[in-house]
Formats: sequence, structure tokens, C-alpha cells
Amino acid sequence: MAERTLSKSKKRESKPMRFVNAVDPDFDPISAALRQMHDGVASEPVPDEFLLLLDQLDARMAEKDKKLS
Amino acid sequence: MTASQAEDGGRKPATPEFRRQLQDIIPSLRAFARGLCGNRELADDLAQEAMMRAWAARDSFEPGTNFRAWIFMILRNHFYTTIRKNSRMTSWDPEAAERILVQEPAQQHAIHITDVEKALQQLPAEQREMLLLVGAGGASYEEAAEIAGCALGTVKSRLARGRTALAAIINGPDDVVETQRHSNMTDKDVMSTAA
Repeated sequence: MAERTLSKSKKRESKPMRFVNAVDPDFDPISAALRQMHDGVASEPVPDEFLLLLDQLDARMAEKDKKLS
Repeated sequence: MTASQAEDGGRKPATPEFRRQLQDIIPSLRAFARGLCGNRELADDLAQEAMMRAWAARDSFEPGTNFRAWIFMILRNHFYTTIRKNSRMTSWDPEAAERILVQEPAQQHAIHITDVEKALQQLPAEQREMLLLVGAGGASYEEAAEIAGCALGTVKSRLARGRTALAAIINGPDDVVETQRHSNMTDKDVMSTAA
């Protein structure tokens, strides 16, 4: 019995948020789309070239420090 | 600008903290750049250029102040300089056509991310950047004003006009009243209802 109750509760928790949005009069699809656009790009893995660039800047700095010392 | 040009003589060394901030900001910087120019490759070029310029100008950054606002301002200024020279910066990214829906098609307010991205590129740049900063990136009005170098009231009016124009492009003019209702709410309110 306890197991059945737990199972029902789990089902309720996993209900998609989309249903809530569909009946929410304040849901603004444009705001949601803007946020999703941003999050989509921001969650992409950072391309290697960006980290390489940071390493290059670091390396050149270290090189310059060596020359000065 | 190249990496060697970014490392110029007479400047104090970048601290590990500066490098960490630069590394941490990359995802947001890429997202802002992508929204501004609408093209993946050009946006990444723009973001890398902004990083190099930030590195070269590291003396002008005051530790403890808003790093995101500072580097976004660098990126934005470079973007506007570049689009004056290169019309390709406003081209549409065909890869974006694979994006998912915000809501399921059966729902009343279903909308494609691609429609929003395309519509954004049709907006005046100053409205687009406000929607990207506040609406997409979650910046405060104050932060957006600092980045764009304008007054708080200008941020609010550009946001409201941008939202209205975006809705008109995507859904047609009939949807404008509904969008104006949302424009009267604070953006944080709108975001919390959309979450």
C-alpha cells in the first residue's frame, strides 16, 4: 500500500512543467524563448580555441616576465 | 587583435583571479555575442576578440567591480564598430533551425526559438541588445544601463519597445496587446512566471 502511495507521488512529481505553463495566464513565451536561447548557448561546451587563447596569453606573459627578470 | 598584441609592454601582469573571471565568463560572453550577431562563427570570433581586448585593457578593470558588465561593454563596443564595416555580422545562423520548441505545438502559446532568433535580428540593435542582456541573460536594468552606456529609463523603454516589436514580428500585430501587458511587469516577474 505504502509502495502504491509512493508510486503515485512520484508520478505527480514528474509531471512536466509545460502543463503548468499552458494554463498560466502570465506565461510569456517570448521571455521563455529568450532565456532558452541564452541557456542553450551558455550550456554548450566551451570550444578548445577559447581555452587555447587563454593559455597563449598566459604563456606570453610568463615569457615576458622571464625576460624582465 | 592577436594574442601577442594583447600582451603589450608596460602593463602589470594579469592575476590568476583575472584569468579565472575571464574563463568563467566565456559561456555568457558567447551567448551574448551569438544573440547580437546571429551567427555562431562570427560570434565566437567576437567573443575571443573581446577577451583579448579585455586582457590588453586589464589595468582599467578595478577588482571588485562588475566584471561581466565591463567585458560585455568591450564586446558590445567592438560589435558596433565591426558591423559598421561588415554587413555579414547581421546574417542568420542556419544551424539554429534545429532548435527545440519552447512549448509543445498543441499549446496555445507555442513558439519556435528559431522564430525568436530570426525576429531578434530584425530589431534595431539597441532594442536587441536590451532583450539579450535583460530578457535572455538576466542582467539587472542597472547593469544593462552600464553596459550600453545609457540611462535606466532608456533601458526600460528599449526593452518595452523591443518586446512589442518582437511579438509583432513573430505573431503579427494582434498579439501586441498581450505583449504590452507583459512589458508592464518587471522582467524578473516575467522570468519567474516563465520558469
